[in-house]
Amino acid sequence: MDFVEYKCPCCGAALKFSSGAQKLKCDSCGNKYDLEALEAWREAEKDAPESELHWEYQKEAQCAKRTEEGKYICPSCAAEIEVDEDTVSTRCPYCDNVVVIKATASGEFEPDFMIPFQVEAGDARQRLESFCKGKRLLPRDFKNRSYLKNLKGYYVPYWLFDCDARADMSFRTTRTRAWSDSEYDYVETSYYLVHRCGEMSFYHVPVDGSTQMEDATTESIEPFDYGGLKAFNPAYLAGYETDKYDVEAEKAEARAKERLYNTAEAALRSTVVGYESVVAKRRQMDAKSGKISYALFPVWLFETIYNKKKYQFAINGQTGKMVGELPVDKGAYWKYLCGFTALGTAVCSLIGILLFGGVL
Amino acid sequence: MERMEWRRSLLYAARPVVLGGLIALVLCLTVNFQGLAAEPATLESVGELAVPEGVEDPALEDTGESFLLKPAEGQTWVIDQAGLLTSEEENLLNEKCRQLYDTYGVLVTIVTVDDFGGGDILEWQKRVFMENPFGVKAKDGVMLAISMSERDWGIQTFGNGQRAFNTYGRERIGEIVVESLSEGEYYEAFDDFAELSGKFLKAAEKGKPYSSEHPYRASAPIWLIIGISFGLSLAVSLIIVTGWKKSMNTQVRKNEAGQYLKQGSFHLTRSSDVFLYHTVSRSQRPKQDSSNSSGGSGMHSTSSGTSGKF
Repeated sequence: MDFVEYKCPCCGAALKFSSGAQKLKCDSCGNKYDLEALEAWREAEKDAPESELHWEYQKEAQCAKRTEEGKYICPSCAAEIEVDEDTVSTRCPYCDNVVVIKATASGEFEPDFMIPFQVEAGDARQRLESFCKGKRLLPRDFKNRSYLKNLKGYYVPYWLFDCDARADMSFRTTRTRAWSDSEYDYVETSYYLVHRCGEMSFYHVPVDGSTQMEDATTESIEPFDYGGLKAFNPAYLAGYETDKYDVEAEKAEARAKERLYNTAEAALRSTVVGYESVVAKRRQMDAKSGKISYALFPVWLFETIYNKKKYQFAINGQTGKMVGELPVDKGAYWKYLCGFTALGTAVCSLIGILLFGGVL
Repeated sequence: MERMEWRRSLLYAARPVVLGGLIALVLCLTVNFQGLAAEPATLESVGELAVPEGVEDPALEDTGESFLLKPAEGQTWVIDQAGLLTSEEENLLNEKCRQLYDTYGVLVTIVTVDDFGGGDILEWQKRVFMENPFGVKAKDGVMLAISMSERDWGIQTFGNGQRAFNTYGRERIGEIVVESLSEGEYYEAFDDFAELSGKFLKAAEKGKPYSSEHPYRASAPIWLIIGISFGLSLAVSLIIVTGWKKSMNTQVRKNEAGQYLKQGSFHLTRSSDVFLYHTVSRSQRPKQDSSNSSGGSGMHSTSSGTSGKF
């Protein structure tokens, strides 16, 4: 038989069973605990790593890999399938799943979805000019640069993650109560272990699949309106640059997982009310029906180098949302800072002397 | 002969004149001596200062001396019988009070004693002013006196001094001065008194003496006003310019994916709130100091004087 030693959640001392209270009692700090509460606490304290989410790339799952002998491996049961060269898809004779042959065999990789450009190039230029307007710290010579020539329409490869998630999280919370008597002020802090479990579904969480684009830029121009999502059609690509993804879906998963975990925590945390402080203790999440899709989204891109630093601006080619980082004129920064400070000091001093200096 | 007769008749005639002159001289001396002692008696018409004839003053009786304070050899505005000031400090204060006298014609005096003999310090101050140990002729004045053994302080006004140092003014000055007195910073207290007296006299001279309707506000040092102005301006400027700088970069990573959560898909499947333990902390409440005399509660004011303990 294994003996379990229970430690006090408050002070860490060993607990003893109190027959009178029928609870576990701490001789050190005097707190008493129900066994159920202690079990829940022990569970929450376990150093469990965040669980991995499992995704399935639909097209890849359907596509069979070609062997050196010219046969194909069924992605479902790993059986070898013999097909003709012209076969596009077939049904696995062993597991009866539909297996796509052509896409993999030809080495082509078509996106599942795309959103065509809706913002014109002229409109994109105007948005950039508006973005620069009224920026007092923008270097004068930067405004006159020919960076507009570097404007290019670019279909950015994205991985879209879908799943039905089940999140199971614990929070350590506190609630305080204060009162006073004639001599002392008292503050009682009560500690709780709050457990929340919930289910939610995510639809097309985008993660940038290109190393050319900075993640901060591609995330900043979100969201895209998925109402405009269309099946891939090469006709939409005419006149725009398009790159195949160079970040594998497996690598992009990490970022998707991070965002899903944070969203699930925020959703569960919103149900923890009536406490002064809420700190997440344990986060677990499982994904069902995980699916990854490959999509191309439209982005107007400006790139320029100013003072040996690369500046990238992007406009959402569907919604027109503009993001980017403009260079800062340090001279102007200090000029305004010193000027405002000097002016403020003079005005405040004058008012201060009139009001508090004994002049009036 | 005629000449001798003339001289004799002249001496005869001069005798009553000389006698009269001697009598006049004696009378003059007597009148002068009484005049010196009775000079402030003209102030008795100011009402509060009037000491009715026949009323005996216990402070006078208790001292058993002809003078409450030893008269100064020359002119002085500070009599430090308790020895709280260095000679340098005394000179500085004297100079300030002398300037006030020259400017406003009001005798601003400071008196310290070890023991004034008990009773009402304001009454004692009136006697001192009547004796005029300062060697300065003035009908109008204000006196700050402190007695170390009783820890009494008093501000008493004389003549038109009451206009500048009305009840509000004396209590306001008392509030400020008593803080330094309580901390044993006597020179600072007297220096404050002299400074404040100048300001109150100036306000009265302008026709707007400080009062509850026209309250005195302690002026802050210029360097402090400029320093605070600089700090505030720098903080506000930093907020403005840093805001501009931030607006130059609109790239923000999105750590959540709430907008991709299917509407209505989130629902709780399990929920529990388990109480673990509680802790109680306590802190001593600040005690109400009943002896605190701030706000004038520890002061006593008459129409011409204000006194209290320090």
